[in-house]
Amino acid sequence: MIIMWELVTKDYYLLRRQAWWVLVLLFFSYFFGFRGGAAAVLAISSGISAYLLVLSSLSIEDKNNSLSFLRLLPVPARAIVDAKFLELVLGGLLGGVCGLVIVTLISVTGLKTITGPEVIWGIISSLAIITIVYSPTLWLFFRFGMQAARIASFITWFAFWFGIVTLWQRFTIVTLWQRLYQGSMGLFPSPLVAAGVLLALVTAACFVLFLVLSRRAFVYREMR
Amino acid sequence: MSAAQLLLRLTGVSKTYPGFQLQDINLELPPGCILGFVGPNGAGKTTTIRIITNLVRPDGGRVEVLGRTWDRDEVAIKSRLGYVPEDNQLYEEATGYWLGNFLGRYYPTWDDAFFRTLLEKFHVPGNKTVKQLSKGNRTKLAVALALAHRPEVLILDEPTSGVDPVVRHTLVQELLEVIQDETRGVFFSSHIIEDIEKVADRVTYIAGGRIALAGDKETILEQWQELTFRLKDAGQLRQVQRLVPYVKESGLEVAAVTDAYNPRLLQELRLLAAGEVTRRPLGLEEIMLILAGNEWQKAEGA
Repeated sequence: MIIMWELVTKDYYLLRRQAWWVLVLLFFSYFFGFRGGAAAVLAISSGISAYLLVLSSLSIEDKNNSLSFLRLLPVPARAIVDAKFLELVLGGLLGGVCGLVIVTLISVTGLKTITGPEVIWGIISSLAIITIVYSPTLWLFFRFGMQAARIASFITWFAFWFGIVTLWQRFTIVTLWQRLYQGSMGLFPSPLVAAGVLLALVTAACFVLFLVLSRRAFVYREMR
Repeated sequence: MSAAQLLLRLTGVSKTYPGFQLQDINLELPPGCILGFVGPNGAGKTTTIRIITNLVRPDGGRVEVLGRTWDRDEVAIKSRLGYVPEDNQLYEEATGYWLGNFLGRYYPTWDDAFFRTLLEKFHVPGNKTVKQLSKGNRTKLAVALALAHRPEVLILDEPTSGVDPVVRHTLVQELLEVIQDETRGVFFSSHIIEDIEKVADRVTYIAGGRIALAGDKETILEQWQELTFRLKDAGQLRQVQRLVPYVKESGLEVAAVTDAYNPRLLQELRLLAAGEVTRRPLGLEEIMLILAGNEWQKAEGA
């Protein structure tokens, strides 16, 4: 764990000059998120920070051709892959915390009514979305390289954050979410608890699957 | 020397890529030795190094580093190995000091004072980012990073390529200091034969994915000699070709190169020569050119 943490902090150090970009994008994203409520703020915040941190760190590895440098560190090769996945989760959490600060400000200033379930389910669904959307991108990076990861992340970004979310609003299920966010169903309505458990399982499975695939892909691609 | 004492040992290593084949590579690096690994571009030097460092898996053969194999002792080997790659793989956004600090957390034997001493000695500003450093300083930083954990095996892939003579001299001197410690060894790959000639104890020449020449540098330099003389009559040329592998003739004038010089050979050639046989030791560069086969054709049956 300490080994991985050093690799993660290494990426944060290398990204220090790009950090303000993340903050600027987060700032503007909150204007769009504001209309959608707390869940939208949290999802956009987590999504942007995870996306930018992970993709930027992959770009840095690619630009510096540094995977071989990392491979020669006295650590198991899988630790390099694991560190990127840890970074994904941390990026999502970091964005989530920033989102929570904004949501709190919105609530405290009375700009909009924020309900507890909205926040809780916003955080859960944000982390699930990030994992499901970005884990395959990491696998593509370790399997095929940066170009494939960049294209995939570009497609998923637009497909998901704009396409799917727009379509989602047309489905009837949105009523359920709206009711939930409005707090009319209580904090833990059983259909959504079941959905939450299912989502957690899918998220965990997706995370583990792509982590294992990435470990294998890294060894295969680097050593062939 | 027993296998356990060797720092590096490659036995029958092979690797095939489309259009390129590395075949039957056998190498040994004993402690206290600098092995010069030379060959033209595309000969297989970097592939061999990537196999040694476990960045590429061989199709066949066995690789032992410090008496261990990669599949069983990956982390243990890596902590005792220093590597300077051909292409700079350091993070451009990081400073030299930061890189030292980062690597220091992974190597139990990391000596930060030694690292800073090396930077000072090499005149590398440690507070500048890699991006701000010149190519020569980047190379020196990479060497300092590779040396600071006092590796038992130091592998250098073309470290002097593209750097000025002053930097090359500094690096070569540093290698000589490393090897003062008789327990350590250096695997030094380069196509700059002048550097190899200065520092190497052993030389391995690779061409077309095969090892064409390997051995102790002094022995190679003693055994490879050019012999020039005038034949008594033209019919004796075949006898000369049986004695020495590389022969060029112009009328009765003969220039021959042997890869196994000894006084007895000289005596035999004197019997065929009309006058004196002139002997000239060859430099490594000349030997490599002969092996490349551009100017000298190897006589059949020699």
